[in-house]
Amino acid sequence: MRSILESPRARGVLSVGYTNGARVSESSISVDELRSSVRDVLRRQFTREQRRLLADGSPPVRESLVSTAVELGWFGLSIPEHYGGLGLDLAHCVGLYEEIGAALAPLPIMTCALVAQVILRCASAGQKERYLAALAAGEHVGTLDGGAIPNFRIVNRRGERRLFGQTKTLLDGEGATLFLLRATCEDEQERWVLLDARERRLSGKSAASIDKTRSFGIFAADGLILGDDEVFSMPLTEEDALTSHACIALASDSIGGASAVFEETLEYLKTRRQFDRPVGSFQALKHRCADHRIQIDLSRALLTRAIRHAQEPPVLALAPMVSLAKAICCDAYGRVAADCMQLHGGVGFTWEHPCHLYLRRAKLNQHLFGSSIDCLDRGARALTLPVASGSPS
Amino acid sequence: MSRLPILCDEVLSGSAGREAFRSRLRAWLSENIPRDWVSTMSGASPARYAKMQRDWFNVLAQVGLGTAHWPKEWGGVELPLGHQVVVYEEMARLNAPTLSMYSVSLYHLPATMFAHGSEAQRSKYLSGVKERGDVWCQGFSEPNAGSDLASLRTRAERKGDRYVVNGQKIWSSFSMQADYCLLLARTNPEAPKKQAGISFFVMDMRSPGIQRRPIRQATGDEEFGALFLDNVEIPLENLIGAENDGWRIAQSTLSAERGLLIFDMAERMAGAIARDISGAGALAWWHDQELRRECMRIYGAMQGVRELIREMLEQIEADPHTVNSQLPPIVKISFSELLQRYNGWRMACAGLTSLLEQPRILGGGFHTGDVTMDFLETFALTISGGTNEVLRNVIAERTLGLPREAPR
Repeated sequence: MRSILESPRARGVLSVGYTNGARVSESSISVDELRSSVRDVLRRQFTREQRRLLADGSPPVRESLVSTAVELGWFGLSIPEHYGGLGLDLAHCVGLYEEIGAALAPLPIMTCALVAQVILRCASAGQKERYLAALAAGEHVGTLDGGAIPNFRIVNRRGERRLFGQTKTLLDGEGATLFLLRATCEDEQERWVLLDARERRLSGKSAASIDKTRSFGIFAADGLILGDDEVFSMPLTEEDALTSHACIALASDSIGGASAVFEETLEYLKTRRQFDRPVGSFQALKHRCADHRIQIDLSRALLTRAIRHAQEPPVLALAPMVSLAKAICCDAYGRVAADCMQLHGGVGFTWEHPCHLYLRRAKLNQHLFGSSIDCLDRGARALTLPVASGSPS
Repeated sequence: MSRLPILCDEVLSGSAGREAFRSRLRAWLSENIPRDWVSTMSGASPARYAKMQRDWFNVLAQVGLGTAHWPKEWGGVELPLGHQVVVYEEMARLNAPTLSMYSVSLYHLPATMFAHGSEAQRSKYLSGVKERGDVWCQGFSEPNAGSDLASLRTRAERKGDRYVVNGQKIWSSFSMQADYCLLLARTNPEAPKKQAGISFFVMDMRSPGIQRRPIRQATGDEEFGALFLDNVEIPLENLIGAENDGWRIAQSTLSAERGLLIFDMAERMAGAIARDISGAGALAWWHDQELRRECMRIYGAMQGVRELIREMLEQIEADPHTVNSQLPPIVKISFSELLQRYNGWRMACAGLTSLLEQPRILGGGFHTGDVTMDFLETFALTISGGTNEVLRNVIAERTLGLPREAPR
């Protein structure tokens, strides 16, 4: 359908994809097809019962799910075809991230995609060849810091570059083999450091996150000597693109999660009876539900608009929109998930019930790659920089 | 009739499409919008405001823009929805006066007439709007029938060749200026359901027995009023549709403008907040982190609301007779509450001086610059058109499928 407003919607149909859970090349897949394919696979391979096992820290569920996702190409969704990925656009990524968020699937796909984006945009040709296909194939698992501030520094000593610093917040760090770190150099400029943990025989530890679907990695360096191609700079525009991918991914995950926990809550309110009637008939609860629906719809609409901005020139105009989308969508998820726990009453407060799993994931989303406050400030800076944003519209 | 080049077939059907239309429209608007209308409306009387509305309507009507969205048969050009959107975008961009006094005449009356009016009724009343600029008001709400409109008690009794009407109507916008009224009245008090005994009439506002009284609003304006109906005679031919079918007909009336007016308001808000931000660096609020972050939350939410409005308009464009859209109550609540929050934020930015009383700018909408009045004015949106509370019930029951509370 032609749009009645200025520009066409983000609704790409691309040349590579898969249907019915099978990897299919040379056919086209729309965002909706991708979405329903992902949903079907997750429904089959990651059941409610398995989700519950995951909360108790049962690793086999995760491993089998990861290998399925690798097989289906999800880890290479945004990696160009030339490097063994599917080369799909942002709108497709949104579909995948939303479904992962809705299912609470313990898949480090966003993290790997972000590592791949940095390698793709900034690393040497040799590293691209070496790592991109490996990330798409699940042979390497990437990790990077979930914070927004560099926690390493690079010091030159006798002609050698040495790495110092530590972090406890490498996202999805459990089992990761490729560490992407942010470091400040003596010239005060930031650089990326890419370490192949297997090759360098580096040992990181992992730490549990309060979000049972994800983990953190702990890594410390005390003078580690860095090779030339392990350090590379990232132009401001490229960093912008990376931040945008992270913001869009977390906003999508949040919309998917908020929708899922809200749907589950609605079902409960329709069936749970007290005072001889369904509790969902009480206006005090209905109005809250209406508000949650409005917040979810508004979040999705904002993300759609941000994506459209991201795909139209000037691309830099996307920075304020996606930052605001991240803050608003993740905050909405936090509020919706918390109130869904309340709306469930005692049942929502139990370990058995998934409400707390959603709330935990929402809280982590709110803090990853900059808090909501950081995102609002980033949006404000970008909106008033005429070069970066054009005029606000 | 004279039509300027923007509405000729060549532009409307040409391959250049909407952008050619936009550039011609923009050129025309920039020459024809009354240049100093904001300053002349500052401290103006309701009568002067009404004259400004009539003058602006006439300027638009002369080139066919007044009723451009109407079918050709009734003197319109069947302007496609996408082009109507352009009209509102350009009017918002250039801060043209909003034709508030003609909302019922231009949208609610035709929506009612096209679906339910007789040939004679259409001919008489639609041409009255087009040729003479007749102003219409709505006689729906009553002191005891607001959210619960179907419990209205104004009575219309058939006596020979006429109905005799007694009762009281309230919250009727521009009733002081109106030539005609779309009236709901009870014709069968014994009907098993309260919705079933209501009929829909055209009431000539010059009829004997109508007393009009303005109602002063919280802003001090007198845009709406009350109607006291004392043995007002309405001829049989002024019944719209069948007797006792008025409730169903009223649904057409209420769904008339289908998002364009809220689109207009949202575009005006987008323009206002863009102006706030573009001059921000030099302003005190920008350096107050709470105010700056609140501005960003509002700006982001506004982009979401604009996208929802766009989706709603796309649904209507794809299926003009759609009745299944879930979006209208969601759009209405989210926009009206965001506008209220925005104007509350502007008051906080302005500080104490925002409470100095200023001459009222009639017709200035929500962006007169007098931020306290702009804030007060937003309650016109959160309360009217279905209070946001009633609309939350609608979302909960129709969209979310939650059970009804008690029989209503």
